[in-house]
Amino acid sequence: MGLLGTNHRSASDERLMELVVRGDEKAFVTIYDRYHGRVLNYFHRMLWQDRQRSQDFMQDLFTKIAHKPTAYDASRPFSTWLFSVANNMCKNEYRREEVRRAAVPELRHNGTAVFEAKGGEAVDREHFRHRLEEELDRLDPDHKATFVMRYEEDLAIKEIALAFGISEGTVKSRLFYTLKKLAERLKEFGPLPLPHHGQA
Amino acid sequence: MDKRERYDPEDLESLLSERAFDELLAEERAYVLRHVSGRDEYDAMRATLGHLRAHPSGRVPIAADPEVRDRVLVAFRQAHKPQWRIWLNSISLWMIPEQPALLWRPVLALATVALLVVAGVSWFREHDGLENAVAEVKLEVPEKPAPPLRTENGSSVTDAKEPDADRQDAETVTPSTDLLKDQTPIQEDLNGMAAQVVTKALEAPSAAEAVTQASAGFAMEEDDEKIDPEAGQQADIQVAEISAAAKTATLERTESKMRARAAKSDKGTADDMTLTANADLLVLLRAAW
Repeated sequence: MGLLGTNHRSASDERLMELVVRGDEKAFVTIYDRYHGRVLNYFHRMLWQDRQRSQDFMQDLFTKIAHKPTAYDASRPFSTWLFSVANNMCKNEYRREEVRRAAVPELRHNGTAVFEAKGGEAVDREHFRHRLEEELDRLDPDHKATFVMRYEEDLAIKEIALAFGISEGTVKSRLFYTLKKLAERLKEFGPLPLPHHGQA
Repeated sequence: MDKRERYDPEDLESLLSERAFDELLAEERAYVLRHVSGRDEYDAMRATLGHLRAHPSGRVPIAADPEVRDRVLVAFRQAHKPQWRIWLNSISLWMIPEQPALLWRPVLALATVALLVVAGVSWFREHDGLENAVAEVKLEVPEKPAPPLRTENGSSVTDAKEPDADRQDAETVTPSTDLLKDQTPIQEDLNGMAAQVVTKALEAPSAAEAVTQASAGFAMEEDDEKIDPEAGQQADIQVAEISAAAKTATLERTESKMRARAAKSDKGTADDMTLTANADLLVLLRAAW
């Protein structure tokens, strides 16, 4: 905090949320600018690459924060809490989607991702991504969310554990079996040299 | 021993990231084979992990529409605008909280309000009592009038008090309402008598002639009665009584004047003027007696 007030740009998420609770619009704008892209892409990945639905969900999430910022648990990192809320919204949407599909079997969500053949490495990359999306949609929602958070949002295992309210061992176990399933279904892609060491 | 070689069951991902199957130590390979079926599965998992790491930014991140930001900000402003409304539901919740332990709040507030009301009423009553005490007037018994002075022509003058003095008395003494009610018949009689005297006075050429006629009439009566001393004393007493009654009537007139002023009704006041309110006519009345 400076002499003339809080420097919102350099303030931590938790400090900004304290200001949001007090009605600081600038703090809310900073939080939105900081996270809306990641949240939108998370929804986009989790909700079958449906752009419009992802935007609606992202808007709903930040509207919830605007209406009830006190719902934030200050004892947890804000990013973890934010993704846990987003994940719960996705789970609810999965349930609704199952009901829809049960009612109308013809409604099969094929996603909006368009695979365009280009050639060379780009073809391999986009082909792999397209197939990965398909296989992820077939996974259990919890496993899919864990996988996306780990490999798309680059959250640490500890953060994922906090977001889901589970142990770190459970997160690692989920990641391992998800990777095992994906490897089995994506055998057509040959081995690729790993560029760097991973982080556990 | 390196941390990676302690074979933590959750560290299989690290092994997949760091080492090929052929590079695993004997203990590491034994650990890996407890979780995977063999070399092929290990290599497939390692290849998938490699593709994931090789294309971290393969997906082009999508951007949100600016309208979304505007709508979210509008929602924030609406949620945080000051609200001064008091809803009945909130009052009922406040009065009857869900937790009995919170009942002390409405009880304390209501007790405070009751205390303030009692204190205010008691103060008001005390203040009002003082005002009543100021307005209360003890009924003064009119003193026995002094013996009337005899004039040269035999007429009597009741006392030395002038009408101005009567007015001063009227100003200093305020009659109570009950007293005024009791004196209403007397006042009406006096008004009637005063009206007769005024009529006579108006019929006379002038006030001086009226005085002369009244005095002459009084003298003729005395002559006819052979100047009886007892009758003179009775007449004096009657004059004194009339004077006292006139004094009371003057008080009543003064009161009615004050009311009339308060009501800003000058016209009515002028019409209600009686003889007793006029000092000159009062002198004439006394002289006539």
